[in-house]
Amino acid sequence: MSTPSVSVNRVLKLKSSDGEIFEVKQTVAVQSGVLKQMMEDGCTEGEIPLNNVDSPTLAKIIEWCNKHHDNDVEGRVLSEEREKEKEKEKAADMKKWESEFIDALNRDEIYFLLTGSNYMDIKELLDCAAQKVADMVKGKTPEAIREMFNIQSDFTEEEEEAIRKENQWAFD
Amino acid sequence: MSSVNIKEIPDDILTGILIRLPLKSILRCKSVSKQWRSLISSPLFCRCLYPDPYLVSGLLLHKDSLINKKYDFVSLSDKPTSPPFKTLTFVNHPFGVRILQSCHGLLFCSDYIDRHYCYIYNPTTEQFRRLPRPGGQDLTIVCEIYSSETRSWRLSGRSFIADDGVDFRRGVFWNGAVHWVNCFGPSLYFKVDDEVKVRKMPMPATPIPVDWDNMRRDIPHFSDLGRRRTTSQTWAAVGRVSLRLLRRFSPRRHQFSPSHRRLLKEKTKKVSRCWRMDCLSFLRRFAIIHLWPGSALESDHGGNTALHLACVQGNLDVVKTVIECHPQLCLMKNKDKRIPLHIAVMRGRDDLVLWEEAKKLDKDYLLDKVDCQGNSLLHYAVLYNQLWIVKTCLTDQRCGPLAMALQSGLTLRTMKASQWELYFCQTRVSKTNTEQLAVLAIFIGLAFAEFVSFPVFFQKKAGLQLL
Repeated sequence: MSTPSVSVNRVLKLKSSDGEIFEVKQTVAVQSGVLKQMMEDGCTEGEIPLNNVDSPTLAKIIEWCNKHHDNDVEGRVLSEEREKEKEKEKAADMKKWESEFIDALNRDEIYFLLTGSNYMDIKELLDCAAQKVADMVKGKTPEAIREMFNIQSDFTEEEEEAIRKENQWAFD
Repeated sequence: MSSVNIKEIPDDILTGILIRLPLKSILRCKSVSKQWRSLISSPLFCRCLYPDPYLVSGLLLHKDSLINKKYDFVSLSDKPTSPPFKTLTFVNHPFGVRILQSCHGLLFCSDYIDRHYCYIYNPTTEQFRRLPRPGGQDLTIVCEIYSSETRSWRLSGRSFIADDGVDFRRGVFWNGAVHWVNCFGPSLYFKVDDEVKVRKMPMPATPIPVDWDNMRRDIPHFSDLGRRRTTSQTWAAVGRVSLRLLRRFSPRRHQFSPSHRRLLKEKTKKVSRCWRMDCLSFLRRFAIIHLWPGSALESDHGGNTALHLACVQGNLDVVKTVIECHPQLCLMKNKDKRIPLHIAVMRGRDDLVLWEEAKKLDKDYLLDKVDCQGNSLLHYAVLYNQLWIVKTCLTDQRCGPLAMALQSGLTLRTMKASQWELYFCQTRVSKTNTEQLAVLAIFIGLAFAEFVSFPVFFQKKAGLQLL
């Protein structure tokens, strides 16, 4: 590990935007690029304010990180035993857990999860959430997408017609 | 109901979402709002969508003829992709259009006959634009680059005198450079980003004439067998002939032991009952498998095993039977270090059973197996125009796409066919030498020249950009 300052038992205190404190093991927190950087720089004393992440979202993010951390540790032991089969199973289990985790969220929660994981730089979570949104958008008409995301069209009718013509094949 | 306004979502997250969509959805998203449109139209987005601008997603092959308008597509990506198109129909010319070049997902086309009309075509969006004709004189060669922005051609790099033997109409764009093959002298390439001058490709070239008869001499008794099949006289007495056949067939010209003779008699009795069947194949099968179960593992003076010989004859039944009994024969080499699959390919057999079996035995290094002349399976496939095996080699997951196959340090024996005279030059591809990779790619293209014009390396990049 490139983070010699990480000890197994040390705990970080994360403070959400609404003031709630969450305790996270350092070994779990390294999944966040931002926190990892802070640990390497040695500035994790006291509470770490995460001003862009509210407490329900932070709870979700920590749940995600804990789950992935557990899996990582077990995975390492297994790979030593060369039990590839089991590893595969584990990966499938994780996939299942991930999809259940993400499916249980509503639109707003996913949005906050996206911005939160982006802010904390947790790539896997960001990817997973982005994939979920992409699945929701896939195959929808522009009107449906606007409705879904609460966007007002700022095109004039002519402009919209022009874009449609330009990319006719995509609308067929 | 939703309080979230996605307008608030930062561009990078939105990009992260949009690049996961299929292309059609992305284009549809353009009409959601101005923010979305400008995001999707930006070059940055395009780069996120296709991080490797030189990644080749497939080869377009075209049989060069006036009648044939169909393009064959060999996908080189890991995921199976559907061909971008089968025919080019975006404009109506009496003889259709042909592709001259491809770069960044765009195709440079012209009408088939006099190249009076040039087009740039984006098969993804089905947009096209007619281009002004590039300039250029006969003796000096100049490179001109067309800019979509200014919609005009501009000179690029220094002009130079063309060498003999370079066919400048058949350049191949690959790894950011256009390559031209010269079968008599050094081949040339022009790096588009540098735009300085045309350079020579490093290429060792030692032409070795090919002995066409060589192969036939390897396997003398089989050419005999082939002829014998047609003469009715040979089959006059099954018993006698079959004995002779078997003796010939037997790898080390075994003396028949009494038990063999007995067995043979029984078998030939059966054979005479199936008189109207293909006796030869029937006998051969018995000869190898039933008469001398162990003999299939032995080899003749040319080091050919029963499977080699069966491949030469191209009898699928026998091949299958032999493989069932002795799968290890698939990787057995003869004196010329050829495995049966080599021979099957040389003889123009599309022997999937053999391929599957050999792959099962040696999934990683099958393409590394080279014969005494340094030819791999891929070489033979190219040499003998076995499109199916080239396709299988190139698209097979384990053997990987073209580059993967070559990364293993395959010895290359590239070729250019000109009126049945073959020139070989040997070159070794190192892991990093992309220039040589390009050479190989081009040569593969040239090998198809007899039947297929040349492959166009299709890169799927400019999908979203307007022309």
